[in-house]
Amino acid sequence: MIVFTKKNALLILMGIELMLNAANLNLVVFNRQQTGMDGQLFALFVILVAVCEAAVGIAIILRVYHYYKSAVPDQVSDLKEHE
Amino acid sequence: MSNAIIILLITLLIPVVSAGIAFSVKEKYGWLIPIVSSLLLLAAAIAVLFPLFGNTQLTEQFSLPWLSIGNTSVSIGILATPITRLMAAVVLFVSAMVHIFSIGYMANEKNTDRYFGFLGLFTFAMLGLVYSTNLLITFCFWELVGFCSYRLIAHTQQKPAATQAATKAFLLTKVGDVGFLIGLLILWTQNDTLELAYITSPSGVWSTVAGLCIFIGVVGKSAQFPLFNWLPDAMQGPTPVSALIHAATMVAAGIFMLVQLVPVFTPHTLWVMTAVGIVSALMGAAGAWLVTDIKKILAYSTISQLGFMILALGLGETTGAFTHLLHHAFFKAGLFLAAGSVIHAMHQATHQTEVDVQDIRNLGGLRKQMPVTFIGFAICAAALAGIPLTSGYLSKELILTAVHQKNIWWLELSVWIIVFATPLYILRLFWFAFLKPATHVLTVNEAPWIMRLPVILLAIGSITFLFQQGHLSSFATQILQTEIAVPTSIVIISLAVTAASLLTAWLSKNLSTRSTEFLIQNFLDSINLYLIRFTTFAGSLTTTFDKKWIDRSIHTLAYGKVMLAHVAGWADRNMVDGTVHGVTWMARGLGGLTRSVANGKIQSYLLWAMAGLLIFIIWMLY
Repeated sequence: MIVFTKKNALLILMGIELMLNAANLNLVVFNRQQTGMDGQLFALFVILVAVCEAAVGIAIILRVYHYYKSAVPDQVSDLKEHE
Repeated sequence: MSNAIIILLITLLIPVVSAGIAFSVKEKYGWLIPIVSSLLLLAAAIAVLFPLFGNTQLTEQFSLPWLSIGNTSVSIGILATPITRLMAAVVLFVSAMVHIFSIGYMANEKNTDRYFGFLGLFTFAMLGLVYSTNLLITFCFWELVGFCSYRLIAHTQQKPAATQAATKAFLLTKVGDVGFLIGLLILWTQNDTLELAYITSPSGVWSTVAGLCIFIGVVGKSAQFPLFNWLPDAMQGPTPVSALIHAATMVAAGIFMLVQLVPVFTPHTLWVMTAVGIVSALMGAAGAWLVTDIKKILAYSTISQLGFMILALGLGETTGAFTHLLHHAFFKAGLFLAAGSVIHAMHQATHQTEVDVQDIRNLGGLRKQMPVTFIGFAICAAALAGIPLTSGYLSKELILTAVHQKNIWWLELSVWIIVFATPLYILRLFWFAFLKPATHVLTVNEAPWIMRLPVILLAIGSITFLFQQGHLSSFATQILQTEIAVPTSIVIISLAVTAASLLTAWLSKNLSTRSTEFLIQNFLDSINLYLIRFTTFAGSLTTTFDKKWIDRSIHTLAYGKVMLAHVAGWADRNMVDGTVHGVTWMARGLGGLTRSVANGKIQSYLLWAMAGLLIFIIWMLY
């Protein structure tokens, strides 16, 4: 919901992180009910990817902010046809 | 194409060449134009006649298809018959004489290139009319003749009267031309062709109508009652032009047409022609006796003589009429050129004084001062009066015989009156101009040789004993091969009438001219006035008819059209345009709908992607 409703790109990124964390939680919890370590390993991978994603995402947001003086995606509309 | 046709074709083109030279040569060499032109025309006149010496009855026709409309085709060609060749020779000869005369007459005038150019065109138009094999072509040349005469009458542009006279001549002849055109169309519808060779009399009432319509055209062109008023006014043009108009080109065209078309006319038409001819001849003679302007006397005399010819044609006497036309060409051209010499000489003598040199009362005593012109004028005048040994006498006798054979008393009476009246007015003119003791003290010099020569040549052409072979046959009648025995009684009566007329004229020569002024005002002007009143009345009638019926129906038609246009416009806007607009509106709406999804907002993309995914999952699961 945060991803859809928030205006600021940072908050959208935050929402994505939250979704990933929720998925991790699910992975860890459901791993308990069956044998093996697949779920926990997968959660570790997700954390790893989430870190990378957060780093890249924040970097992009920073660059966008530098260029447009704004971190709101709706205002970044160069490609859109102006009416 | 035989030799004779080629010769005729060349002679037809010579006046055009002459006109071309006149229009293209620089002003510096302007004096060359008339000399070259007149020599060419003279050569052409001889060339036309030359084949006649060998084979007088040669009749040939050469024509090429020109255009075709539906089933009928119009051909353009050359008709070589004794009649056309004689006419062409006379036209060319008179034209050459006029050219030569103009060298002297127009010596101090400006715009001579235009003058000689139109003289050439005028001659060409008349020749084309004479040679034409098809009545449609004839009509084209007929109009060209009218146009050229219009330009030549209005040659002196400084004179407003000349312009007015030219306009009058043009319009009055146009009235006749409408009739001529209608007549041609009737002939076309009835005959399916306008070839002269195949024209036959249409059946029933159309035949009379067609004949009358064509005759109206001739009435306009040949200045007959009631369309004769333009001819005296046309005297505003230069005198040589008058000579050409009266002798060979303009007014002769009408008579020539009739000579060719009389065989297809019905008796009713012929009687109308006879009546019009008598009225014109009498009115012309009366007019000539009453006016005092030397050129106008000759103009009225032309109307009278043409009326005489029309009268003869109405009686079916084509040979007499045609012979008289040829003879008339010679002596009338001679009279006009002699009158031109007189006017020219008087102008030189009076210099800038305010004397009307055309008024015969101001002339007089020219016999001593202009002997050559005097003799030329005397011979031509004798021919006009119909005195024996002149050409006019021969053709007059032919016509008188034809009248006598009809045996109708009023016809004979009126013809005798005409014969009596002709010497009356010409002797009066002759007396006033040449014989009467001079009222002025001017020293008038004879016209230059270049102007005397044509007068002499034309006067010689008016004497017949030079060509005469046997009793009452002239050169023309020889070629036309007519043998008409003139009764002795006719010869005696005609001689007696002419002598009586001359005597009367001589005795009444000093009749006060003041009374003639009075008569002009009360007689001729009133005739013109009634004519004008009648035409105005007829005009107002037609105007009312126009306004009431034609205009109204045209208005109704126009309103209907506008209404229809409005309905059509409404349908266009609302139905045709509406459909197109509807389609575009739909397309735009659809486009807007699809485009609204791609609004450039990441989150909405995400939302739609999510929704799509959800729908996909739900569809997969269930």
